Amino acid sequence: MSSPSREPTLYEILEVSEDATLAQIQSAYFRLVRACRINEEPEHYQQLNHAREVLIDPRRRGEYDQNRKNGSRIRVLLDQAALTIDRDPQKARALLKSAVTLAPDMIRPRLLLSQLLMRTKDYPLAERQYLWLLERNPNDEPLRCKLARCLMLQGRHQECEAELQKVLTLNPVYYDAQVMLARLYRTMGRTTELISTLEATILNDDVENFGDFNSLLQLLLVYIQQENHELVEQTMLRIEAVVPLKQVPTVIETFLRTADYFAQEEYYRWAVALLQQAGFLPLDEDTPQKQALDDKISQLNLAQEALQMDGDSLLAGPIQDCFRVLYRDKSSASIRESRMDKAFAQLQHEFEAQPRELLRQLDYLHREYPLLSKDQAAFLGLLRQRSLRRIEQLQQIASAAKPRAMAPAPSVAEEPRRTGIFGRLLGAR
Amino acid sequence: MNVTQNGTKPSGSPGEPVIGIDLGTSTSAIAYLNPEGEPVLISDVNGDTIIPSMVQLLPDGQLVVGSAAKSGAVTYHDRTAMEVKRLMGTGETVKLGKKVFFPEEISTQILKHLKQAAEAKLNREIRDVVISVPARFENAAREATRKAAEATGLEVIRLINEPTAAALAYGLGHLADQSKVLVFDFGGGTLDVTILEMFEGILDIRTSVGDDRLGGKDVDEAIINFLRDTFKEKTGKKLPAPSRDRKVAQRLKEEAEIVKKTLSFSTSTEVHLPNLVGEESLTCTVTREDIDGLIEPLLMRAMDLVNEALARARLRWDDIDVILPIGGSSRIPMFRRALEYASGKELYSGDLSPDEAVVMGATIAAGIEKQSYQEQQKQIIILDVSPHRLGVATIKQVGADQFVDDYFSELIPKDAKLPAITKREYMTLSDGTGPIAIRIYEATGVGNLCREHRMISELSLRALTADSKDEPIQVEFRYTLDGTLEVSARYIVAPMVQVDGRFVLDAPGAGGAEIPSASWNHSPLAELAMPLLDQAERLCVEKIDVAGPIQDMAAFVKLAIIQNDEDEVRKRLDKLTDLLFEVA
Repeated sequence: MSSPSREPTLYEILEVSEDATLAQIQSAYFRLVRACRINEEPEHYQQLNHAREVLIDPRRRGEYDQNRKNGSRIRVLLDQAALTIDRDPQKARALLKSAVTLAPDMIRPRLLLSQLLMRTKDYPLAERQYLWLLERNPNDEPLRCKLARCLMLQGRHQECEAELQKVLTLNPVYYDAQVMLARLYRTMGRTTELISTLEATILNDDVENFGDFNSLLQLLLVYIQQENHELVEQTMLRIEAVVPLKQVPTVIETFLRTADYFAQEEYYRWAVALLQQAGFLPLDEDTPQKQALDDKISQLNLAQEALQMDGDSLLAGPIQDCFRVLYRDKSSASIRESRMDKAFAQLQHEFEAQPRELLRQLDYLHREYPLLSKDQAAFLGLLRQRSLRRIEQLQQIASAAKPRAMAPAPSVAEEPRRTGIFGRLLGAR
Repeated sequence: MNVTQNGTKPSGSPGEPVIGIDLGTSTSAIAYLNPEGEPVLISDVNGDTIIPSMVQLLPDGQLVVGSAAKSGAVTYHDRTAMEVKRLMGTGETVKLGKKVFFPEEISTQILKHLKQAAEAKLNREIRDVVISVPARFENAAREATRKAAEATGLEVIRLINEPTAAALAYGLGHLADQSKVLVFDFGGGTLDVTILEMFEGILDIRTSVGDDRLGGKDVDEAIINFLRDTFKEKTGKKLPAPSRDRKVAQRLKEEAEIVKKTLSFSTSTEVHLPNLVGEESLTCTVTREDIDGLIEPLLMRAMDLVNEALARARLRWDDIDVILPIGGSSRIPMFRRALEYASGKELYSGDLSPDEAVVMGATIAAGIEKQSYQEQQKQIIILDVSPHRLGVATIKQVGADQFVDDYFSELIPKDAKLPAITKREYMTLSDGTGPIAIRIYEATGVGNLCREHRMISELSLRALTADSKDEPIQVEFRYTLDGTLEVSARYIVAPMVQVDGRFVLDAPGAGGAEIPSASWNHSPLAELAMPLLDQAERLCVEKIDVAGPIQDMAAFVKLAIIQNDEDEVRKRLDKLTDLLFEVA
């Protein structure tokens, strides 16, 4: 009999030695069960069952043994690791690794290790830990979600999807999994699934409220991309319904940030559509957000025009080059400058040779790209004047009985160089 | 279980017959224990020992059961009830002619038939019986079985799981053995795979998994579809759907059964159904290969289940000593071959017939309950397990600020040895939550949400103080062998404040025990609820189709009244009002 101050160990309950084999444990269990009056002493029976259950499962037995033998040391190691995890992840990792080696069947060290591995981006190693943990506890949704995330970060989309689907069969309203699945479908470009997942996210808590704003916004993005105006309008109405008045400025900022993502990918039209929808939200005229919204829209429209002009074959030539460098070139400043110089040299040459053509292009630009021409009115006006003057010049030359010489080359600018791209152009008379 | 120490006397009078009943999906049987302790089958008035589970309402209002009903199944296809076991406890009904029957009533008829047969044979009244049920059966279905027996005038001393019974029938002849047995119980409607360990008279059930939508009927179904396709191929015409022509459907069904049975011992068979539709007949040859192809998906499901059982018991095929195929459908060669191939072992082929093993086992179990084996110094102990998971609904965070309020928190796991006792502690999520509702669920699937599972009942733990603070509570489950679940919940800081519930495991309303009126209608809160409860009762009578939910809700109101919790009563009444308004 064990001393009363201490709980009997599972081995003591089953009256076997600590190195008992499975067969010994089983026969001891049966012997004790036979002696136990099951209906009268259910607690004792329960104890026997528990002890047997743990001891015949090698993993649980291992965990039990390790916890009994090294439990306190493991706890110290884990505490230390938790302390150093931010300052010195390498050290924390070493600590956790030794904890796992000491007690390979214990869950907690592995859990912490997997977290650390995710943080240090050792995804394959983290995945191994997660798989081990899941084998112990296959119904654990958060853990499965983490594994899915680990797979997603490794770019293994199919497997990630399978894991997330498993989570959702376990718990169809697991919000995190739904959100992650939506993200996955977006990356994979599977729109139908994306829409249904997003709707599921929204309906997760049966009510549509501000908590669903992000999902609704994503839905809006999908419909904008599909250019399905009807659904865009519907979704926007839903958004308007859930956004409380107080939150409108924050929401507008979210819209602006999202539009930036579109803009980065040069989908200016969609970005504009998005921001136009944002304009439907009730917002006072004189708030900075409204200002920012309007600015952004005009800026995006401009960018859209620039994009369009870039591909416009009717404008092919130095003017287009100029604008391209100005609006679309994302290279470093020095490269842009040299390109600009080249474009100007071309422009110079062009209006020496074909001022009429240039004039025609300018008119076209003015007509078709109102925003661009407005923005660059000074520059274009100047060009126009100069081409007109050049045409005059050419006419004079033509009207002279016979040309004695070629047209004089334009003189290099005398006046101090102006700064900036257009300054220099203006200076290059 | 040492009896001399125990001091309990055999419960029945010494000469009282020991009876076991197998109430199967497609066939039933009854047996008694002879003085030597061996079960003996009893044949019914039709001379069968294996009795088709069919009940027929003849046009003259007479009810016939068994092979008499089976032979008339084509003629009176719309007056025959079969396979009602699948419907037990679901609240669905079957129609015989113009009369509507509950599945319990049909089962009652079958039990009556069996009882009569036994009483004629033994020449005395019988009362105490053991009835076998599939291991997978939900508690509502178990309770429905008990009720059917009660209505017959039988007292169920124990419901035994069919695989356990089969193992018992096997075990009686191998009492001294130490072996691990896999029972592959493939019946008409269900497949149960049970793994148990036998050790000198102890039957240790390790695990029991099952699929209650996979059985011989599904094999029939596959053959019927094959015959339908063949007919279409041969004549170019489509056979009418079963819902449109039940007679054709019944003929096909019987033919399919014959095909299935014939192909179990020969490799091909002829089908001849003259004048199936109008002048068109169906004549073709069905080979075993045809059928093998058809039932392959079923086979895959069955083998998955077997593997799941092995995994749950943490055993490999090498550890299994005996594979015991029982149930009529286990004769299908493809399943036997698959089992043999997977295990690398021979299947058990002793003198235990697959159709009879269960009823034999049930009878032996009755013998154990009645302590008939004491004189023979045979000790048989069955260590039975919980067939499902039991737990309570809790709140769980599923996202940054998303919660579900019906997350299943398991207290008694599947395959826990009975009686099982578990205590767990819970915290309320916020202060001032008022009375705590403890909703008790029985989980049949793997899902983690209670909405997929069956609610057994609900308890309400009253708030500790008026402005109740965040107090941990302890919930205790005690699940005993006779199928009752005792639940108690108490505050850890104030253990005196507690709520107890004792349930015969079934939901209120669903064929469950009525809450006796004496216990609640004297409470001061009863006045509050009386008018609405009366209205609910009236509505239950008027609109039978919505009676279930209304009765459930009314039962909750009564529960709350018993617990004397005014808030809860009001809340429940509100819900009841909503419900009545909805259905009115």
